[in-house]
Amino acid sequence: MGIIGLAWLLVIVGIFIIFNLIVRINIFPGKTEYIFIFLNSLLKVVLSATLAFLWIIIMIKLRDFYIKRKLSA
Amino acid sequence: MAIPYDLILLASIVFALTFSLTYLFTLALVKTLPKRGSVVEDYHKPSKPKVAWPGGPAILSSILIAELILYFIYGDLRILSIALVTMIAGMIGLIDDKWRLNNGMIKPVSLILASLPILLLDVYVPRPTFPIFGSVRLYYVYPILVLAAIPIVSNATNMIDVLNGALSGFMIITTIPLVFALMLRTDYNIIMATIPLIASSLAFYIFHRYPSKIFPGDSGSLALGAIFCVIAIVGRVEIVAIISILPAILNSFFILSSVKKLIEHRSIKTRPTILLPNGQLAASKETSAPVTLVRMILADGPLSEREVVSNIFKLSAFSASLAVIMALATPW
Repeated sequence: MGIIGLAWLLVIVGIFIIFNLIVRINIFPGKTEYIFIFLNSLLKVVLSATLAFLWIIIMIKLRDFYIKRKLSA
Repeated sequence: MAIPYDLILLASIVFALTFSLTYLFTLALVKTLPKRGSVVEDYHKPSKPKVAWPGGPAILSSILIAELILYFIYGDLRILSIALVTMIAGMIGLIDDKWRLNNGMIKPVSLILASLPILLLDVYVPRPTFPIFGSVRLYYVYPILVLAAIPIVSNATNMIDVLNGALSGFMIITTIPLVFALMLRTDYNIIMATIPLIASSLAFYIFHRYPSKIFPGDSGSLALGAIFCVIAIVGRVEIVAIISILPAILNSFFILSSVKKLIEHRSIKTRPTILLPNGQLAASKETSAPVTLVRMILADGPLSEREVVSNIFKLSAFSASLAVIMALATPW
């Protein structure tokens, strides 16, 4: 239950970070050309993907920690 | 939130019909499959009894009949897409049951086909609704996510189908938050379309529970995973569904990340669990054994098969409660 609870908590934290921080990012304020909008959106996608990757890494580390602690004893 | 009386009546009829059909079809399969030699060994019992297999056709056909009736009543293309996705996934499962698609890539790739009705019938809305913050536009990414979702969820349900009653019981518990979220969205058509999933899983559970008289096979597990996923997509309750099915997703994620390749659960060389002489199951201490949900449950000490399945249900109930919290926190 600990792992599932943590996975859920991380999903909530991830949603909070995406909506409160990443979605608001604007590295080219005032620029309306397509290329700037595209680059800004690309940055948001990369940051969100990094967050998802981080989630995967945390889950793998947690799994390894759990298995080592319980099964190597 | 008052639910109209005629909807309750129709829901009861759909439930009774699907339940009866699955029950009768499964009963017929339990009697006929062993006569045709269609049995597999129940590995987790000392006597290694032979169990009828696959029971998927009973689940698949009864769900399809119910969904098609609902489509003719409502004329809602989303219900047709539910029927088509379930049918394609179930057929892929049947092919796998019969001819064994042992290449780890064939099944996930072919399951992409099952996602196509959602895109072709244009029954998805690329604006998933998140808790607290509301909906977000994902016009370009969403169709790609749809293509990936059916194979991921179907394989996840397929991988949790390892012990007596685990899959059918898991699906019943996991689907409840979906119905709850759909009620909050007042999407009655999709609530109706969800009833066959619950009714069929419940009827099949009677035969699938410990000691199993029949196993669902890939035709059953892929069909159940696919219908769950397509309901989440067309019903627009994706986030609630992800949280609800988290134990299965984490299970397949742990397996795939520990064996480091796409693999069939039946083709794993080192078993994650050991059958003790007293009939209990213990976690394997082999470092090469894949990390599965069952192995993690058994890491605390040996348990009987019934106790392991009961723990899976407790985890599912916990995850379902978290999903209900997500549904309540979502501004529908």
